[in-house]
Amino acid sequence: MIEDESDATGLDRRRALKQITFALGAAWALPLLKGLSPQALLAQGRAIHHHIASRSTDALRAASEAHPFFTPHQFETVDVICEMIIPQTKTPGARAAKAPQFIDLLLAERETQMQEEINAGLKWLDQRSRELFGKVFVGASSGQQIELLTRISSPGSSEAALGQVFFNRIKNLTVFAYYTSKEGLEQELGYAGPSGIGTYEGSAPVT
Amino acid sequence: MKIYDAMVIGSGMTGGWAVKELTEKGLEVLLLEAGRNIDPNVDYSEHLAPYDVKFRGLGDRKFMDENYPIQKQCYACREYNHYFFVNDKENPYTTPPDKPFLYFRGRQVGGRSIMWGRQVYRWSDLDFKANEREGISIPWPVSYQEIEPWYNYVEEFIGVSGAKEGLDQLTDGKFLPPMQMSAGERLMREKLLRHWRGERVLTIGRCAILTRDHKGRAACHYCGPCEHGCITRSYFSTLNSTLPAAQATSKLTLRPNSVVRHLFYDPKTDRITGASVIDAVTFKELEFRAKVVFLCASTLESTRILLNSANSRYPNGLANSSGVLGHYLMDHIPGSGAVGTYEGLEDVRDIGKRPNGIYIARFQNMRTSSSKYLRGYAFQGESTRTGLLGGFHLATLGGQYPPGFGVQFKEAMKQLGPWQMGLGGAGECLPHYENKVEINKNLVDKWGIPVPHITATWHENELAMYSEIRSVAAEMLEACGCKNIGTWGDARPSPPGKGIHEMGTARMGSDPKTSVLNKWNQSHDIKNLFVTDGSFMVSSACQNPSITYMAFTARAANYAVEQMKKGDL
Repeated sequence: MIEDESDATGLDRRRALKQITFALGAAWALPLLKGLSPQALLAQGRAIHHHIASRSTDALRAASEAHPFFTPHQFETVDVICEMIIPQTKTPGARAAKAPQFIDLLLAERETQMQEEINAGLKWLDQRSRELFGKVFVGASSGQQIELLTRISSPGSSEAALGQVFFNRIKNLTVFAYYTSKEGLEQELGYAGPSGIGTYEGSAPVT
Repeated sequence: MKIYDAMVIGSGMTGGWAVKELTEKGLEVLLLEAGRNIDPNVDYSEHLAPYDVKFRGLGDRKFMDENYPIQKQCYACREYNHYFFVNDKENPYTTPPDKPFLYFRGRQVGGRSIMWGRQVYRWSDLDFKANEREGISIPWPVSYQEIEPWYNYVEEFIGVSGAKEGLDQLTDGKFLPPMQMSAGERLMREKLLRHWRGERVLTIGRCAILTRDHKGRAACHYCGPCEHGCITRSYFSTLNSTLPAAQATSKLTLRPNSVVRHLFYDPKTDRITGASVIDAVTFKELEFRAKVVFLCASTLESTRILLNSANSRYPNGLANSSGVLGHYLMDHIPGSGAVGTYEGLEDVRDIGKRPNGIYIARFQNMRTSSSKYLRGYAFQGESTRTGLLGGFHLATLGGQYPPGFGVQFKEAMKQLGPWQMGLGGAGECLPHYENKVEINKNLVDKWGIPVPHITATWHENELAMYSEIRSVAAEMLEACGCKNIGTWGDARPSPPGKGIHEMGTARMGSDPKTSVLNKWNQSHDIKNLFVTDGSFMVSSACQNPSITYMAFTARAANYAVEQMKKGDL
């Protein structure tokens, strides 16, 4: 099971840092600050944060293999929908960014108030897919899947409100999950990471 | 038992300044901090990305609900840094059921200076003379002229970036180069100046963040979340600045995990002799002795210590012969404003995460008084281009996104949106006797110490300002050409405390009958006791207060050392 937050990002980090501080061979607690140039400080800070990040990311990735909320069938359905919303192009899609796994975690442990709505929405989706195509959503052809998602995502849709609400919810979850992932932030948006920024420009030309 | 020259209780914003000044003047100083030690190499987390934490920054709801139900309501208490805030279960406090108060606390070496907002605005005599002019409360015993050298002194050491504006109500300081304004902010500055003929001035936020290397600390590299720490020491905190300076003197003994239960008082000499301390980890009771005591534990904690130190000579709380200790609690009233979008400026965008915004100096009741309320408010805000901006902005769970799905949608998500401009106001709070902190004798914290009982409400004057702030913000956005203007903020303001500027419960004054401290932050009653955190404040103005606390602390420390040298202490 998933470790609690303090283990994933706190204690483990502390343990990791004891090691890296030791490995750097410099017990540079505060009083020794004056011996380091600002550039050296930043470089060391980056090294430490990268180290913390890699440790906690490994722990989080291992945890994300579990499916704490969705049934296997639900997960399969959500996995297809996420990838349809943000597909693989030259850059990774929602599936490669493990958006479905993160949504699963959010619903299980944080956005528990959404569980009922998501369950009802997924049930409705399969029902509607059966009515239209004689198959549950994941069993339909990709053309049929696109048709159904188009029906529930179009402005002025005549599909049931339940379906439209479900689509909006799962879309927002997918957007959050994808654009806060390493793949979404770095490969899709070109973000250099929080320690990769150096300046602020208030009026830069749009290129 | 060793007798230190001075004991400083609390290592936050003001405690850091007290130990720096006292040790640099040659005193042997003991610094008692209730919380744990902080190791920047371990505890700072500003370079962690969303994907480095379990809930991508949304926070662990169950964990926070259970352990941080109050602290989680603070904007700066996040998944990345919640451990800089106190565990509410260990640190309870009470209020009357119908008068909630939000008490946001940090207990660790560095205190709240680690997560503070870093905004730095001097007062002027518009503020220092207001009580006297209007016959409200008691007059300040200090004028701007007297505190100005100490503003200079503190600002030069901590490093404050900002732009000089020559405004009477917002005195210029010793500034490092200002941070850049964004295109949307520059546009608003120009339009405001023109529309209100120079009376409404929008300037870049004045902040304790370095824009060039300064005293061994590096210029800001715009990673964004200062509240998580700063490995390059670019913003001012005790840990990043004053504590290293004090430690460099070899005159400082820092003792974390030292919860002060009460102070020892000697009725024969009418002096404080030391402090009774509970070790936060072992729960062992310890004693420490010093010739002079500086209380810098934050407004409510310092007051709590004095109230818990009551004795037969001072039955209503130590140094409380006036009876005003604990009363006149103030905060700033925050939490309403407006937001709109610009048409135009499509060919430019902002790049980077500037941990600072803009400031619109107070413009109400400057020459004539409005009939609606006394004093005034100032706006903070920012303008940025909307959209994910290559990852500088994060998606939210409740965001509005382009329609549809698939490849086209993915492309649309990369597009820039319009420029947005947002403003939020914060107003001055008047001192009221009935806004107060007492001791709840029926409840103790994890260390067995009776907890604060806080009674505070907003009064008519603040509420009148609050109801005006959002429409004035909207009016300014409209005058600057913004569209899609919406206001925000609840009909009723958030409970007091939300401004995190609690102050005033051990106020200074010339008359010992109506004040706890004299103009040097020294107790009228007990000469070797100084209180220099926000509790000394006589009024609140509407500026962020930390720079004023720091200036008064440095001044008080220097006064104390002079008095000791003269043999008067």
